[in-house]
Amino acid sequence: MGVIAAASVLPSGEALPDRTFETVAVADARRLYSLALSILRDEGEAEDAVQETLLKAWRSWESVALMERPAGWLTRVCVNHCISRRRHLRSRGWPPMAVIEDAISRDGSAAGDHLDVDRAYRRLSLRQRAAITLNYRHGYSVEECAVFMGCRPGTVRTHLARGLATLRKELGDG
Amino acid sequence: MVDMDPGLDTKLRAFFEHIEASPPPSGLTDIDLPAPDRGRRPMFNLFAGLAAAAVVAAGIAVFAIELRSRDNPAPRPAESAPPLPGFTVHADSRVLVPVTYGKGSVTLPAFTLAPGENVYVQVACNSATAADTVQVGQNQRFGSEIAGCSTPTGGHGEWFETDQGGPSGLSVTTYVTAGPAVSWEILITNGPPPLLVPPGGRALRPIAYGRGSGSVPAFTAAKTYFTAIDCSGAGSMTISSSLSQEATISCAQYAQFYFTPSDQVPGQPVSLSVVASSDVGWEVEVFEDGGPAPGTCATLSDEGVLKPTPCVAPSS
Repeated sequence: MGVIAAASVLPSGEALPDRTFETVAVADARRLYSLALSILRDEGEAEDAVQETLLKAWRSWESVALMERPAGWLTRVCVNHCISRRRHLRSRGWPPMAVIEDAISRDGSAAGDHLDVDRAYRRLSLRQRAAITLNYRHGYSVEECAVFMGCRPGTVRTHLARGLATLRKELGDG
Repeated sequence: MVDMDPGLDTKLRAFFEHIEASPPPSGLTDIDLPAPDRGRRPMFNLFAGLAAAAVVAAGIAVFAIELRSRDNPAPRPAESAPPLPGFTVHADSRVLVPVTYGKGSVTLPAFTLAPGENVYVQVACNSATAADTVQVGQNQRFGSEIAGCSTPTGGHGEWFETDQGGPSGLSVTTYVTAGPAVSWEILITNGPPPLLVPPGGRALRPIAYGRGSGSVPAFTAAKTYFTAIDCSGAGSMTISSSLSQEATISCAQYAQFYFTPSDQVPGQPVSLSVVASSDVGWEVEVFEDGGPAPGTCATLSDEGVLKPTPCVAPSS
C-alpha cells in the first residue's frame, strides 16, 4: 500500500509529526463512517460521504497534515457533505415514508429494539440529526457544532431543541 | 452537552451504540493508494514530484475508483439515470436561481446582480442516453459545459464568475442547453463557493478572488499559515509565495486545494501571486491554524481526538 506522507519539516523549521494519510485520514475512516451513518441513516450515502471526505483530504494532504486538528477538518468536511448531500432530494419530497419504512426493515444496523428509535430519528431533518449526533453523541459543544455545521450557535440550539422534541413526541417520552 | 431526560437518553444511547457497532465498508479502510513521485526539486509542488496535471488526474481517478469499490453496495431506489449529487449553499449566500430541475433546453428566470457581485453556479446532470452534455450560458456568454451525464455517477460541475455584476449591476439571464433526454439540476447563488477552513482556523485577510493572473495582497502571519484555493475553468493555475514556493493546480471542472508553503518565516510579510489563463477563475483564503506542537506527533483515539505521542522518524 502506498503511503502519502506530508513534508518532513514544518514551515517554522520544526520537525513535522509523522502524519501520513494512512495514519490519520484512513485510520479515522471508521469514526467518520459512524458519524455519517448516524446523520444520513443510509449505508451507501454514508460511504459516499466518507469517500468524498477522504478524497478531498488526499488531494490536499500536504496541507491537511500540517493543520492543528486534521480530525477536526475531516469532521467538518464530512458533516458539510452529509447535511448538504441530500438537501435536493428532500426538497423534492424524497425519500417518501414508504421508502424509509422499507429501508428500516432491510437495515441490519437498526434491528430489534432500535426500530422505533430509528423510525423516529429518520423523521428529523439532516441538520437536526447532525446537531444531535455531534452534541449529544460526540460531546462537541454547541459552539463547536456550529463550526462543523457552518451555522450560528443559536441555530444549533434550535436544531437540538426541535429534534429532541420530535423524538420525545414520536417515542412517547414527552 | 444538551440536557436529556433519562428515558430518551437510554434509548438514544443504545441506538447510537448500535450504529457505531456497524463496521465501515472495507473500501474505506483498505485503500490502495498510488504512491506519489516525491522528487526533491527546489520548487514545491502541491503533489510533489508529479510532473503534469494529467498524472495528477490519473492518480486521483485511480484513488477514486479504489474508494468507490464496494463489497456490499446499499440498495438504492430504482432510477432510470444516476442520482444527481447534492448542492452546497453557504449560509451567507444570496440565492439568485433556486434549485431548479429540468430536462432539455430552457431559459431560466433573470436575476439582477449588485455592482461587483459574483456568481456561483452549480450544475448536475444525468442521462440514460448518449446525449450527455449540458451547456450553461449567461447573457451573451457561452458559459460552461458539463459532460458525462450518462456516466454511472452523472455529470457535475461548479464554477464562479468574478466581477460579473460590473460597476453598476447587471441583469443576467441564464440559458440551459441540453438534449431532451438529459435531466439536469442547477443552483445559482452569489459569491464564491465556501472554503472549508478547519475548526479553530483564523482568516488572516478577506478572501481574494479573481480571473486569470493576479495576486493576493500581502499579509503577515505570526505562525504557520495555510491557503485554501478554489479554481475552475480550462487549464491550470500556479500560486506562488514571495519566498519562491509554488503549487500548480489543474482547474478542469472544479478544484479545491490547500497549499502550505514550507519555507515560511513567521512575522515576515508574504504576498502570493497567481498565474493562470483568462479562462480560470479562482479564490484564495489565507488562514492560521497553529499547526502541531513542536516535537510531538499525533495519534488518533477511537473518539477522534488527536493525542500527543512520541514522534517516529519518517521512513523515507
